[in-house]
This record gives sequence, C-alpha cells and structure tokens, in this order.
Amino acid sequence: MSFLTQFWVVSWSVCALAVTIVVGLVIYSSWAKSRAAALSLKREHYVALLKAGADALEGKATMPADDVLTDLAVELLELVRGDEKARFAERVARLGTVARLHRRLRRGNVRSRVLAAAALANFNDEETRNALTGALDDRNPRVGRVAALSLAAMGRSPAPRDMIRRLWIGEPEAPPLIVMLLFGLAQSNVESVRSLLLDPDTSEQHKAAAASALALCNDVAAAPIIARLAMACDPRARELPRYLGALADIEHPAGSPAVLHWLDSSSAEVRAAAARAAGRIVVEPALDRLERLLGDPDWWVRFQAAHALLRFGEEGQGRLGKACARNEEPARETAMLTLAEHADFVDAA
Amino acid sequence: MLPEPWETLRQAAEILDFTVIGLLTAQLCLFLLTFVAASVAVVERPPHASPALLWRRYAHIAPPITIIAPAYNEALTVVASVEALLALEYPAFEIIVVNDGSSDDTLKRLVDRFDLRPVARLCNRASPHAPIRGFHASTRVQRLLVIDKQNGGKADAVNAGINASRTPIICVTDADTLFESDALLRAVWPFIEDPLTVAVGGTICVVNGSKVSAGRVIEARLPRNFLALVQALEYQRAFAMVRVGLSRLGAMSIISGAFGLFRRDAVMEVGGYSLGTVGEDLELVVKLHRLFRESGRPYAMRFMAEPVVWTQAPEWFGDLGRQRARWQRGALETIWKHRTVALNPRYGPVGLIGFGQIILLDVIGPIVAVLGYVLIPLCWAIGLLSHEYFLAFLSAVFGFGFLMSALSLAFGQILLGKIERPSDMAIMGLVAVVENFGYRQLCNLWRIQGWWQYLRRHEQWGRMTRKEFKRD
Repeated sequence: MSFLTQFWVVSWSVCALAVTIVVGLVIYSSWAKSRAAALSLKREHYVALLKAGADALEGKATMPADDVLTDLAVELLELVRGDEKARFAERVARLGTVARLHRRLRRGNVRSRVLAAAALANFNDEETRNALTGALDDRNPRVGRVAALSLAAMGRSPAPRDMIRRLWIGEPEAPPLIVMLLFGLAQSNVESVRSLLLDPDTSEQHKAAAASALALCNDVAAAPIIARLAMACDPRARELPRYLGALADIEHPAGSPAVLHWLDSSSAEVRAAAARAAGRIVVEPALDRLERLLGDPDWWVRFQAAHALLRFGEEGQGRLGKACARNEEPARETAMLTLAEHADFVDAA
Repeated sequence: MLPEPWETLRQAAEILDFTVIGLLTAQLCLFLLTFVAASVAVVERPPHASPALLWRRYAHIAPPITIIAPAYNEALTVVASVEALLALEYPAFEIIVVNDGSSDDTLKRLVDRFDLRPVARLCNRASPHAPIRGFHASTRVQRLLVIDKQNGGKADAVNAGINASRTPIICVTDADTLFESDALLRAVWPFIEDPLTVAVGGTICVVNGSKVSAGRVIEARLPRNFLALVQALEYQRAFAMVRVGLSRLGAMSIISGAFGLFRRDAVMEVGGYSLGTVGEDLELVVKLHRLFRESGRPYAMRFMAEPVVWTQAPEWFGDLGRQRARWQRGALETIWKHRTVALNPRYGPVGLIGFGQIILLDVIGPIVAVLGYVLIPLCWAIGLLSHEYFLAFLSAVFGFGFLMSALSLAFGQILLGKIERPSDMAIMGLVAVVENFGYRQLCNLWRIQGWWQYLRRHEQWGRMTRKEFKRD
C-alpha cells in the first residue's frame, strides 16, 4: 500500500472516530437529559419535603441522604444565615448529609473533595473538624487549602503559622487566598493572627497578608505593630504598599508615623499607598505634603492625594481650592476635577 | 511517457498536494497537542462551585473590577447589555461604557434609560485616545459611567476607559456582549489564587437563537441562521478546546476583546491598547508577554472555560467576511510588529507554540489552503494528478476538520454543557461535517482578502449589522 493510500485509510479512520464521538455525544445528551429530568423531579420532591419541615423528611427521604439531597442541602445552606442556618444544618445532618460529605472528602475525585471540604464548613461537629483536619494533608493542595478555610470559618483552625507552612510552602508570593484564611482565623482568634506579625520566622509576604486580614477585621491593636513593620521595610519591598493599605483600612492614628515617613518615598506605588492612608487616618501633619503630591509626576499618586485631601473636610477642600487658583499643572487640573467630581457626588447624594 | 513540460507540471502539482497535506497534518498535530494539554487542564480544573459559595468565600478579598464596554452604533443592544452588566453578581465593580462617536442613538438610549447627566471625572492620560466630549453618570445607578468621545476605533475607546478606571483589575468587553451573572466571580478566581496573574480570558458563546430576558440568556438555543450555527461550532472549538489547551501549555497568545480581565497596572505599563491596529486584543496580550518576559518578571496568563459571556455572531456573508478579513489583518499586523517573538525560545511557549500556531493557521494557512482548493482539483481534472493524490487531499481537508470539531464538541460538553438537547447535539455533529464543504473554503477566501488588505494598508474596521436580542 502506497503512502497516499495509507493516508487515505488513516483519514477514513479519523472520520470514523469523529462519527463515533458525535454519536456518543448524542447518546450521552439523551441520557443526560433524562437523568436531569429525573434529578429535577427528585429535587422538587425533596424541596417540598424540606418546606414542610425536616421532620417530614425523616422516613420519606433515602437514608442515609443520597447525593441529590446532599447537594440540595448544601445549596440551601449557602442561602441561609444565622440561627436559621444552624438549625437547618442540624436537621440535614440528622438525615445523613454530613456522612455523605465525609465520604466524598475521603474518596471523591479532587473536584468532589474540594466541594465537600467547602460544604463541611457548615457543620461544626467534632467528627467534621477531625475530617477537615485530616484533609489538610490531602495529596492535592487545593483540597487542603479549602479545608483550612473551612476550619478557619469554624474558628477551629490549627495555628496560622503551621497552616501557612503546610499549605503554601515554596510559593513566591502570598496570594489573597491566605488573607481570606487568616481573616477567617482572626474572627475567632485574632491574637493568633496578630502574633504572626511579631514572629521572626514568618516571611514578610505572609506578615503583609496577616496585616491585610487584620485590617479586614478592623483590629486597631494591630495598627502600631503594622506601622513598625512598615517603618522598618525596605523602600522597594513589595509588601510595603500592603502594610500601608492595611493601615489605611484600620484608620487608626497609630499608623501616622509610618504614613508620614513614606509620603516622600521614591516609589510611586508607595507614595500613592501612603497618600491614601494619610486621608483615611486623617493625618493632619501630612496636609502640606499631600498638597505637594497634587503635582506628582505619577497620576495614581495625584489621584490618591486629591482624594485624601477631600477626607480632611473644609481644610482639605480649601487646599484643593488653592491648588486650583495656582497655575501649576498638573496640580491645578487634579484639584479642579477632584472638586468638580466631589460636587457631583454631593449633588447626587 | 509524458512530454517534459507536462512532467514538470505534474511534479509541481504533486509538491503542492504534499504541501497542502503537510500543512493540514501540521495543523492537526498542533491541535492534538492542544487536545492533550486541554485534557490535562480538564482533569486539573477547579471545581464548579455555586455562586453562593464563591460569594461567601471571596466577597471580602475579591478585587474591585472596572468593566470597560466600548460601544459604536450599538443602539439596539446597548441597554440590554448594560442592564445585564449591572445585575452581575460581584461585590465591587464599576461599568464604564465608552460611546465611541456613535452616529446612531447609542448615547441617547443610555441617557434616557439610566437618567444620565454630565459629570466631571479625573482621568489618567497614560493611554492615547481621541478627545473626550463628556462624562455622564446617573444618580440612580451609581456603578455606571458613560464616556462620550470622538470616534477612534475599539482600541482607542478602551484606552479612554482604562484611563478613567480606578480599580486594580479591568475587564474589557464589547457593548453587545451579555454576561452570565456569575462570570466575573468565576473569572477573577486566578487573581485570587495566584498573585502573579496578569490576565484572564473566558469563554464566549454565540447568543443568536437563544432567549434573552433583562440582558440575561435564559434559554440557550442553537442559532437558526446557518452562518451563526457554524460560528457557534467555531467558537466552541476555539474556547472549549484550543484556548484551554494553550493556557495549560503557557502559550496563550490571545484573550478575546469580548471578555478579558487584566491587571490595570500591567496594561498601563505597556501603554494600553495600540492604536491603528485592528487586532488590538491579540496585540495587547503579546505586549504583556513581552513586558514580563523581557524584564524577567514572573507572571501568569490563564484561560478559564467556566466564566461565560454571550455575543452576537454575524448572520450575513458581508458582515462575516469583513469580520474575518479584519481578524486576518489583525493577526498579520501583530505577527509582523512582534516578529522577534515568533519561534524565539526566549519567549518560551508563547513564542514557540502560540506564535507557531498563528503562523501556521493565519499566516501560511489561508494561502496554501486556497492554492490547494483551486489547483489540486484542477490538476486532477486535467490529469496532472492521480486519483490517489486527489483523494489524499480531500481526506486531509475534510477528515481532519471533522475530527477537530467532534473533539471540540466533546470538550464543550464536559466544560460548559450548553447543548442540552440531543437533537441540538445531532445538529452540531452535522454542522461539523457540513462546514467542511464550502464554509471553510469561504473563510479562507476572506482571510486571503484580509491578507490583501494588510498588504494594501487598509485600516478600516468594517460595519457590522446588529439585531435586537430575542426576548422571552
């Protein structure tokens, strides 16, 4: 058989394969459609029973809970809050949904394990906590991280330092996901997260993540520590703007020395972060420098400085007005447009 | 024995035949490489969590996003699109619609619908664009800002939006694009998981034929127009398969202009979108690759299949032809402008695989294919080529194309599952066969037209006919 004939045969085989795939997809669609219809009926049945109260479910639902009831319960749990959520979680747990989720966490594929770890955050019992703690060592780090988030949400996480070491070891940057984890932890044990800031073995990136998490909790006690860390930072350190951002969000005067220190930084990113923090904390000694920053070569710094001045009330608006009167660009344009924008905002309000 | 000139012609015809077959085989090999990578990506993909769970987990740390939607003569669809954007499930976002000097009622419709009034706005001037005529905002809908500017093209309009944005992430889209409500929540995930992420692309589906209500696709249906139907398959091939694979290989060379998220500081650093190009989305991604590769900074660009937006596909030959010729010009402009990246190991997978794919598909592909379509049947008809050569050519053209489409359909079902009815799947399977007889050849002709326009330095964007969305 010549090369061209072989090629011809191969091409026909390729076509046959393609036809098989398409036929398989049509059969699969047909099966999936009927399965979806059956699942939908089952869900409707469970929803009706759940509406009637969990007691109505007992005896009528498949026990222990099947996948449909488990998925439905998890979906509904995400939609309720507070005491209602706790009561609902307790009821669906009695129906065996937690046992089903535990099984998924142990034996499912990665996607199933991740979702089970996330769903188990709704069930704060000892067995679940043990299961999630075990999942921290899952062979897939994504499962471990979600388990850590769930434990943190329960307020039962291991020490944050150990957690970070176990789950984010070797990563060059601290992702926002760590902030979320530490935020969850800080809500039940703020001291443990704050202690990270003082721990000499914790990397600067992770300290900055801890600072951001504490800022989300508005932990004013952390402000002096974060300010000290910011003061001691290398001017080009990547975490410096994050420290200043945390100080801005906490809005505590203890951050003032660091803010004043970095307003004259050579890095535009740092100047912008410091200007924002100066406005949020209302650092009065920073007024002159903020006014000067209206003429900064970097647009983002000018923007932050102008909006910081607005936060000083009449004094800040007066400074912006003076900058409008001076014929110095780009400060004049920045001040003029900021005031106009502010006036629009006030009118709208 | 054939006379000598005839023999030379016969040999030339055989060489052409082998060239076409070789090119198609190379395209198939590249496709199979992306298929393998896409298969790995499918196994590794994060779980499809419910929007409620994503919200509970990430609402506190999700970075604020500015959605930039340039609009040029989009009066028919702009209100529905903006309503859909306003209803997005995301904790913090602003929408900037840039009216790019429309000659229809685009601005008026927005002003009337959202009670807009003129406002002031402090903007950056880092990215060049045509003069702005004014800013409009609403007292009622505080997330919306409309920039009215002189016409300058899509890149120019997006630059105006970038300059007015103030959030760390920007999302570039088109004003006729409809977002699924959880699209942003899903697309932002790589930025939360990996701080090195600079750009993320999502899936674009064809909205023609689907039912739309309040700017949202409530029932996904196949288009009834044949051209739109074939494009639905093409989009599936591009998004559910090729980009998933290229992203896994680290070779993503394009993020569609209809749905892309970028780190604003990185986009600013490369000067925003380049003006005077029609392939601005491809060019921006290449500029970002170059920025990070040349400065030795680590970075990541990802494609996520699950975040989905819907867009109208052209239903008329004229519109489609202009679009395809424009895409071709854009690819050629970018490849020429950044030719140092092409097949250069210094740029890693994007230089070798990403640009390799563009060269194979966009630069050489249409020329060789059209030569093949014209000359090989002719040579066979006049007896220069034997049946064997002709059949090998036909099988390469049609068999490989069919396999690529069938695999893409399978991936589309795994990743997106937008085709629910078995009859729709059967229709798509049929389209995967039919598109090889006429449609693909036509597309290659349009691409040759794009080649010609590129050589003639044709700079026009081209008109597009819009339809109102099919409402419930």
